[in-house]
Amino acid sequence: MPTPELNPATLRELQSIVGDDGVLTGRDQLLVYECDAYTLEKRLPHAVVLPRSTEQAAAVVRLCAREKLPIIPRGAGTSLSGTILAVDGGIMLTMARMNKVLNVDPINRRVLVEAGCVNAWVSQAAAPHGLFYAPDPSSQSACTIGGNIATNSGGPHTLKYGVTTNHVLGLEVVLPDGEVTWLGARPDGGEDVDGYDLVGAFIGCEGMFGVVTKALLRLVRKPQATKTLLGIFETVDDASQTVSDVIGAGIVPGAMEMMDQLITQAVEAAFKFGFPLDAGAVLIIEIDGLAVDLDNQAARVEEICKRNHAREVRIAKSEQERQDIWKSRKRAFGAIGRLSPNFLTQDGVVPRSRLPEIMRFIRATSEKFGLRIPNVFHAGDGNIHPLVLYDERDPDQVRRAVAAGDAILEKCIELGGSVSGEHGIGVEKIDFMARQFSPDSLAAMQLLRDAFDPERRCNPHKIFPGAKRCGDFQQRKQVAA
Amino acid sequence: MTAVSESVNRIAEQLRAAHERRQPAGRIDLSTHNRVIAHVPEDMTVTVETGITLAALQEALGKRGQWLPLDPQGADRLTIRELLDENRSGPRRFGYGTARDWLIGLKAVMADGRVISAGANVVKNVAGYDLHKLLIGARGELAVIVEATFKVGPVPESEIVLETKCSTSAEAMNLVRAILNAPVNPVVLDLVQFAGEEPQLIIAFDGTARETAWQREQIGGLADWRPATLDYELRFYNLVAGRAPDRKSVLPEDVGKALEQTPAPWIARAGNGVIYCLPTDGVEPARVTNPLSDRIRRLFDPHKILEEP
Repeated sequence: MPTPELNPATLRELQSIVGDDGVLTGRDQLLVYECDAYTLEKRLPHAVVLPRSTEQAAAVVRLCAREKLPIIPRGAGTSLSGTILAVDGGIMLTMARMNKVLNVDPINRRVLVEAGCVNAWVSQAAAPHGLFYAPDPSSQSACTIGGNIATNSGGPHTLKYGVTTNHVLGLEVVLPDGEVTWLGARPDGGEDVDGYDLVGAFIGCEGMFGVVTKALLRLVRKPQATKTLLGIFETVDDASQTVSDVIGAGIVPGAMEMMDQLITQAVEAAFKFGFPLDAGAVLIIEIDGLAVDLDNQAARVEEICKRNHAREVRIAKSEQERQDIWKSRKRAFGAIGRLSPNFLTQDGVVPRSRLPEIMRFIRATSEKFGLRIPNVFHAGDGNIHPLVLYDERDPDQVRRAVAAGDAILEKCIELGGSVSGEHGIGVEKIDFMARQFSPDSLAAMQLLRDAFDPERRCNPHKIFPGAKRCGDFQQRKQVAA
Repeated sequence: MTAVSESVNRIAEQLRAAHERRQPAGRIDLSTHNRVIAHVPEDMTVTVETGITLAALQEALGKRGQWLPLDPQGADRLTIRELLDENRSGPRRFGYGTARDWLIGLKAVMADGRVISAGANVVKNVAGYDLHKLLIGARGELAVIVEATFKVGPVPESEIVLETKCSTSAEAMNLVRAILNAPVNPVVLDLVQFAGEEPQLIIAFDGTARETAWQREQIGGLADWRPATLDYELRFYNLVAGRAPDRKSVLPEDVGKALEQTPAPWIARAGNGVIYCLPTDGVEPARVTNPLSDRIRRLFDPHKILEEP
């Protein structure tokens, strides 16, 4: 793969804006930036630029506008669908040096951060005030707020607390023409802003509307008490029914996460948590709120589990036990390395009541294509993460893995769901957009894009069918978080 | 990508014709476009035609023990289309947020008559841009929302509403701060004053009976509380008399300061920093805009089909 050449005058200009150490060029330096955690397609940008301030970021974007270079905003690169792939090269703006928590405002329950700030740092900064930042993607110890905004990130606790878009009040953005603008609430202003909800329109744009430089986030009071239950079931069907029954009983847990047998075995091998290896499914149910009634609610959840033939229901007795449960869940993807050299992860969503149906379909798909497909997912949201296991050394397995993944997403659409609950479309799922949305709906999305980026130069070739693809698909080991 | 109903086709036809004439479409009548299309209690989602009133929607949801926790005034006349176009909310906003926290998908007719969909009927979805967020509060300037899908929630087992009189708004703000520091989760935290009366603080808790009773106890020592209702909303909106109230949005901690310059009657959502007061007679509120919003509007409705004639 050739390294795109940057015109020397442009390179000097970039260096004069951000300093010599703020511009990376050349194959060796750029290799890290050739892809995100979706590794089937790779491309090098012309250069990676690391601004230290909004002014620097804006100057870089203006230069790109003048030189007609694509701009690719990048956070930590933990995305899973090729959202930050430099399909046509271009200047990758990495926000790693703009990573500060600027101001925690406990009275108004807000925090102002730079876009490169790591998700977990926000809650750490808010913790002394009894507050936290609710969206908690599994990659939260690495992923950045700017990236979370681009992909509207979720996490296990979005069942009760909502996703990124429910927690962002305002944004400082460098538009693709280099203009710096503030969208939504300002740090010293009220949360209602006249005019269109540009913050809501921006979040989830997959980096195509501009470069986020600062974000004003909402902080949430920490729940007074939390109870984490672990239900052990004979079958996935029983566990799925439990999810529906808990919701049906009017209980809204903080999180409801499921792991099937294959995943449980891999997690057990990696973390020795004490999961039974012969259980069909494990369900993590976390409820939180006021201490006064939590025991009572936990008892109701336990009863629902038992009614659905749970073999055993464990309740975490200490914070350490609770954290161990979450560790096993959040690191489940990593444990897959023990099962297979490669995996393809999907991110479809179905209405909660269709969970048993999609899980049965995944089992049938696994048999049909002769590939193992373990599942670890946000059951409470209906957001599934089937992991299609394959070996890249066998081209037939690769073909079958892709076909199995496609069949599952197709089924999600058929059941009235979506092809992505939190990973985004990026380049990976472009072909599904035309199956989920009509041409007119896609055209309306393009209108919104054109308002922000009339030249369609910001993170180009993403989301929309017909986009240019990389010629040389490379099969590499998945290192998904 | 579901089928388009006959009544959506009728609206699309009206807009298409207006678009061909390059003339404003005028009033779009959704009065018979008011069905609940699907309510799946196990999914906690509901899809409706947007001519339905909020009250009719709540009644349908209530039969299965659920509700849409948005409570703007006048639910029996307010259609879902109006609720979304104007981004209306009510006192429970502090506990439950606004329409953008509950709307997960929609169908809309664009100015040229094309029918589009955004979002989906699942609670978590990042496929494509969030066009439905853009349309909330856009006053129908960008498209006509014809169907809406919401997340819904279980109706809380119990709710209690309490009020207390405060001699000044400054004193009321001190009480607000004390409540925010107490281990309670109010769903309503409003300050209200009518002309010639003292300011009142209204607070509500919901949840299980045990949860509300416990919270009531926690704040017992902070003030002299009396059982109350949320009827002050109706009283205030009767004074507004069909106009749109003036709205100020400030930092929650600056509410006290802002109230000093606001003549009663007013309602302040103290936890959100939003104050409603009477509109000044004869003064039309200026349409605040910015270059980005203007561009969006020009792209979505280049021939001003959706503009008021």
